[in-house]
Amino acid sequence: MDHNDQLIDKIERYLNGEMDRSEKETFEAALQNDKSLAESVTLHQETMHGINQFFAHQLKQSLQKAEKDLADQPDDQRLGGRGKKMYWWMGLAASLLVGIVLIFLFNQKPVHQEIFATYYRPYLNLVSPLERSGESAEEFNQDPFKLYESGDFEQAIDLFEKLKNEGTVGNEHLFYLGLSYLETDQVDEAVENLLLVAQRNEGFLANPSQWYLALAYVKAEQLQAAQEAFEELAGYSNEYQDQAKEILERLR
Amino acid sequence: MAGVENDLIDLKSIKAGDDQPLINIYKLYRQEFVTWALQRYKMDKDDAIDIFQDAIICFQRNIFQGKLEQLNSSLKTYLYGIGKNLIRDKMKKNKRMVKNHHISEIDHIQYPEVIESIYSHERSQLVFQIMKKVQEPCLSILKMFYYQSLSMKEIAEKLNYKNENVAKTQKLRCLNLLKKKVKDTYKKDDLF
Repeated sequence: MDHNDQLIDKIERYLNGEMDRSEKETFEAALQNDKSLAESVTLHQETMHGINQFFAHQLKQSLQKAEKDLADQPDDQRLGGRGKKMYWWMGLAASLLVGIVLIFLFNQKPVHQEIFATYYRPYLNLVSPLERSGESAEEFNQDPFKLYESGDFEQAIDLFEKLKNEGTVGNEHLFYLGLSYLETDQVDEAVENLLLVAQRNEGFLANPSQWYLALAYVKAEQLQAAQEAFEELAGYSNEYQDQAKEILERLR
Repeated sequence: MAGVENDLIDLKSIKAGDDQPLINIYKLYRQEFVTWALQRYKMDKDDAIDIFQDAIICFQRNIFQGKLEQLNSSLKTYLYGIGKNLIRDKMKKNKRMVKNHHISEIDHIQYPEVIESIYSHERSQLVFQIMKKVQEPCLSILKMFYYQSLSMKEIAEKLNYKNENVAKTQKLRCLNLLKKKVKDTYKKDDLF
């Protein structure tokens, strides 16, 4: 843990009331005299506030959607009550509506393309993140994870494949290799590598590899395989469960 | 407690981050709450709806923060209690806004703490905006740690990390990345 991480740790313990009395007094005394420390604490509080607001807003949006569903209900019921008599103008309106829907459907992207565009987000490089300073070009070019993060997927693929041929790769390498293939539209290779990680089903990449494998199937138009992969994710509590359920609704 | 409520109050699922039970609760009590708020406080319908949504969010936060481990009253009473407080807060705020209406912008500038509070609000808003672009696994980690108040051990278990130290390291990386993006975005605007 570097100095910055230690400071964050300390600030969080202070804000969460986890310091003992003497540590708290020392920290508060330092806050009085050290302007930069006081600013760090304020920034941290604001960051926490922004994060919490963001996630609260996600629930708010779901409730607003539920509100819309509720507001739509009486209209449906009203229509149901009057639905026995079909007036000529209603027939005309219905025909127009069908026409509009057909035009709309004709211009729509196929469902798999839309799912991929909506749900695919690049996965962050957390293995060896880029450092903006103190790193030589040589170091950078030898690290496939950094190349991946910088968007140089072709180079990253070359390096990952080289390591794979040497037999010196772990799950992380195969995972990011799969993602690099996905980014460069080489879906069969993406599936092949992500499947290897997903089948091992171990460590912190178990869920992400299953998620990106499912999306790779979507991109490859293998919708049956995609559905099975999403069903697996939807079946237990994990970070992709809600999205997997949403996609399954759309696939069915 | 009514049977239908027992079915709805799945505190364990809510604590695990499932929003569906909250949406079901919202749909069940929304109409009743809004009618009650309109009659009792003579407020605008949209405001009443907005407040009931916020009451559900407070209910979720209380569960996450361990302030509510089991309900001692009915769920309806609990939600109405939160709703009542939110309505009162809103009314107080509206009164203050009317009172302060005559204060000009020049008056605000004379108080550095007012300026600081505006900047502070803007910085939080900026974090909110940047959060929309945060990728996995950071999104889940930040949600679990800061919003759901899960321990590092629980996060490690949920994300299949080897141990809580791995989860802690990942969380620090994610937080540092977020703070850096926030700083980079508004460097020129002198918000920091």
